[in-house]
Parts: sequence; structure tokens; C-alpha cells
Amino acid sequence: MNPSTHNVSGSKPSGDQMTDLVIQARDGNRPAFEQLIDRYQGDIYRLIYYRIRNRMDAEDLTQDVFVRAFRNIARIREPLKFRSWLFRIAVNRVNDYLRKKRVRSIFKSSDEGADVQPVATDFQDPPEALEQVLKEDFWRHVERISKKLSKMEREVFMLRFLDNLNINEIAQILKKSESTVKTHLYRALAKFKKEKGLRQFLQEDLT
Amino acid sequence: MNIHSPDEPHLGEDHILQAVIDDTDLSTLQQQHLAECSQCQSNRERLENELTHLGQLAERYAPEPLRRINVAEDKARSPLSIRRFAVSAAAVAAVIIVVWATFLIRSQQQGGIGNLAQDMVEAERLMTEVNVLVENALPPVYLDIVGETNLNTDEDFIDFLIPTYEGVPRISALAMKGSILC
Repeated sequence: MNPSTHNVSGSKPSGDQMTDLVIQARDGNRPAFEQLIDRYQGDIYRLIYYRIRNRMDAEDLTQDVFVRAFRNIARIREPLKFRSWLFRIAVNRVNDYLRKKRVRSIFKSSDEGADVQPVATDFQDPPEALEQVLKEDFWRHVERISKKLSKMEREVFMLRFLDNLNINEIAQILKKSESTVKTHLYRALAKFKKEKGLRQFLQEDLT
Repeated sequence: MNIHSPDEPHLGEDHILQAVIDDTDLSTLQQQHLAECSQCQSNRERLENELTHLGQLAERYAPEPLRRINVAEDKARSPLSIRRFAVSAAAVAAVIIVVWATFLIRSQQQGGIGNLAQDMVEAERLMTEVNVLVENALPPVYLDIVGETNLNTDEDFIDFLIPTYEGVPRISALAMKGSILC
């Protein structure tokens, strides 16, 4: 499976160009860093959104990830690892966010803690309403399988199949060996195979 | 086209999962089988397609970000942040100095004779404890078990077991007398 790439600005810089951009950004060149933002903003935003499912918070965290990256980019020794370094910052920020949210939820009543964004399907055209229903159904299936996976299984599964990273990158992000990543991925896939609802949804959408 | 032997068993579910994760982890025979068996290839592709589609749908169903990232704002704010940090640090340092100075002055006022007397009482209490331990290091519970607490209650019995020094010459005198008699 080929990792998909997203580019907000349109043209995608090559590997060498990316390395050059990282080196320039490391040397304090802000336009170079802004090009890196253009390249990775979508990936980082989606990574965060997949895990917290709240657009505004995902935007705030994405901003925070890039501010942190900007402040610390001078520490990067290997420009080739910029991508996994950036994703690691994002994963850590998401974990911090979820941890704080869990602590806050202790002091909140159950209705206050609900983070689900209401969907106004009544006022939408039928095709949009259908898309909205499918969207909600999809995320409900993803939520269901996420709950069946352990923390590490969920992380490697999402990084591999939702964020489209390869095993080596996942190992760098999570600071684990490749074999450990594969083991967790294997267990996650075995659970995915048993998840009839999500698989049926995917197969129906494919046909 | 399926060109492998019909007698050869197909890859099991676990091997298909392994192939999806990394097919180089399969044994050479299994890799060879996968390369030749259309059924196993189809099983693998079906799962891979589902997973690819999962990623595509996640991307499609995630809302687009409305805000553009701007690190310049934070950079522009940084001198202010530094100033705020400096003011906060100075305030914390001032509080620490005041608390420390107050503590130091109080301890000096209450020190001298008062402290010396308190130290002596403490030392005496400690020496008492040490003396008790020298007498008998066992806790009271164990003293009861070993019978150490009854030592002074039956002096006659102890005298019977261990005669006093005065008795020794008497016994030896008797012995001497006995020897004379013999």
C-alpha cells in the first residue's frame, strides 16, 4: 500500500527539496518553515482530528504542534527524520490533550462532557444529508473498533492505515522497534478482521 | 492465474495478515506460494483494499481546517512572553527571599538558650532510650516470652541454680572435709 500524500499548496516538494527546506528552516529561514507547514498542515490536522474528532480543538492543536516544531527545529540533527519528528510531536500533543480531557471529565457532569457536534440534517439537501449520515456511520464504526484495540494497537493501526505511515516511520514516532510495531499491528488487524460492521461498510462503499 | 500445485495448502488467515503487514516476514516457501496462488493474492488484496479505503474515507469524512497555521503570531508574542516570564520569575524570587529572611530572623530570635535547653532535653531522652536498650534490647513482648521479666521475682530459685560466691568456700570446705574423712 502506498502512503498517500497531501499537499495544501499544490506542488509537492521532492525528498531532496524537503531536506533542503528542513535545513534552511533549521538555520532560521522562516519562508522555508512556512513551506514545510504548507506541506504537512493537512497531514497533522487529520492525524489530530482522527483521534479527538473535534475540528476546532484539532485546529488549535495543529497550530500548537507547528509552533513547537518552529521553536525546536534547531535541535534536529537528521533533516530526513523531520516528518517522523513532526508526527511524534503531534501524537504527544494528542495524548496530552486526551489526558487533560479525561481529568476534566471527572469534574464535569455527563451532559457537559459530551463532545459530539450536533448535525443539522433537517436543513440539508438530500445528497448532503446522506453524506452526513454516512460520515456519522463511518466514525461510529471507527470508534467501535478503536475501543476494542489496546492503546498501542490503536496507535499503530491508525498511524499505519489512517495516517498512511510505513512501519519504519511508526517505529520512529513511537520509539519502538519495528518488530514491536508489527506485533501490535498484527493483533490490531486480527481484531479488524473480526469487525464485521466496519468491513461491511467499507465493502459496500467500495462497490 | 493459479500456477501452484493444487495439493499445496493455502496461506492461513494469520499468514495473510502477516503478508499485509510485511510480506518479507513470511518464509520463502510462503512468499513463493503467495506469488503464485491467485486465491491467496485475492485474499490479501481484499484486506488491503479495505484498509486503503478506510484511510481514504477517514480523509474524506474529516472536515477541512478553516484556519491557517501562523507561527509568526507566536514569534511576535515572544518578547512579551519573555517580559512576562521575567516579571513572574522576579516576583517568585522576591517571595522566596522574604519567606527565607523571615524564617532566618525567627530562628535567630528563638535560638540561643532556648534551643540549647531543647537540645539537652532531647539528648537526655535519647540517652535514656539508649540505656534501656543496653539493659535489654528485646522489646517487652519478647521479654515475656523468654521470661526475662521474671528474673527478679524468684531470687531463691536463681540462688539455687547459681549459688552465691559465699557458698563456694563452704562447698569446697565440705569437700576438703570429706577428703579428710576418707
